[in-house]
Amino acid sequence: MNGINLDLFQFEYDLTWMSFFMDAENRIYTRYGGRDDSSPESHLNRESLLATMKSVVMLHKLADVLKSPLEPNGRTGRRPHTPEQIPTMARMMAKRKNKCIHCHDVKVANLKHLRNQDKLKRHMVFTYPTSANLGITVDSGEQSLVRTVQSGSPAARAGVRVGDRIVKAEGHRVLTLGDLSRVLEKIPVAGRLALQVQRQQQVIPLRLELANGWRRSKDPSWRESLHMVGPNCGLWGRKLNVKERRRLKLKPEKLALKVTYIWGSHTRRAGIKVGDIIVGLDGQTRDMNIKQLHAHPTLNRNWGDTIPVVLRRNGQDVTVRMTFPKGPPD
Amino acid sequence: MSRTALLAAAMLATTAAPSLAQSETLEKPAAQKLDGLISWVYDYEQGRRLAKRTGKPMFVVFRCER
Repeated sequence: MNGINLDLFQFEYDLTWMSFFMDAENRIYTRYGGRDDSSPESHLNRESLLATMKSVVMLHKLADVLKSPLEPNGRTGRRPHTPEQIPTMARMMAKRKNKCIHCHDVKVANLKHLRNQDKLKRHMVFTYPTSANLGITVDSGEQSLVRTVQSGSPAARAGVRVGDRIVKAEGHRVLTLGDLSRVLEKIPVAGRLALQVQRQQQVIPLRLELANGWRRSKDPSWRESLHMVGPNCGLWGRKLNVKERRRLKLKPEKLALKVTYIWGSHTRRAGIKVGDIIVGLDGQTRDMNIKQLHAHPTLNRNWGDTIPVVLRRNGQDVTVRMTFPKGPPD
Repeated sequence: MSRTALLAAAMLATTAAPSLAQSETLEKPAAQKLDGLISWVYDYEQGRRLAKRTGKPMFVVFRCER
């Protein structure tokens, strides 16, 4: 991301892949990319990319670019804002041999800057919500076509139906999930969303009520920036395989992570050692991978809190107590 | 749709891979073909100039470099 114009290229910086369709004047036709909690490629496939490309070729012929205040199109009347200009970036990069700024570095640096100003809130890690946050899944090929509506969800309560085609959100054209996410990013922690859907030959305006917490997702452990908003366990580990679980009489649906590396002094102080099997953490005993294990305290505990950790050691369960540092590392 | 209808401009930009696995230089790679089908341009301004000259839209990709 070195030198990239952040005024122009605004997207979910926790992603590993994102694309823009643009003209030569920095104007955007549509965004293609985004993901849900399940997979980095959950919203990416050949069919939807081809459908988007076909639409872009038509839009290009008509010079029909996105026209909205959400799209600065690189013309903000000032020098482009680059990752290097984020106040915390220089310090972050000074610690590294590799000077490539990654996408998630941009988000981490921004969150660090907010933290330094005492403005960082936990919910801020949930950037660029998707249609799933509204209770909608869309067609794998045509990303504006509603395929399912979860009962009781904001979309269901507003009257969105299977087969509707989302044409606009807050007045902005929606071709793809990337376009929808871009609009959702601007909706506050509790707010309303105006959707226009095409149903048969009619365009119907709908208003979704989005209650506090609507931006959260169930498993944000994939987000590289997550560690910014809370403490973690200071260790790496791997899930036990079937054979290992059988030998230790640990059920497949239960937590069983073997500690492979420890970096946290709080982890060492708790008495956790490489080779220990974590079978419980702060009351959590369901099966998790290491990122999910970290996400639990990051999202639910504060710096300075103490939590119990249950370890399977020499065939016995041992409970230790881990006290997180008083504050985040510099 | 013709493959040549879109101009592909890719920018190596993001990675979650360990830093040890990467080059320490910031030099942009030269345009190269992917699977012999697409010529990716690794410089955005170069891509813009090409889009202007050819009258084609740009497909700008940020991706994880592994």
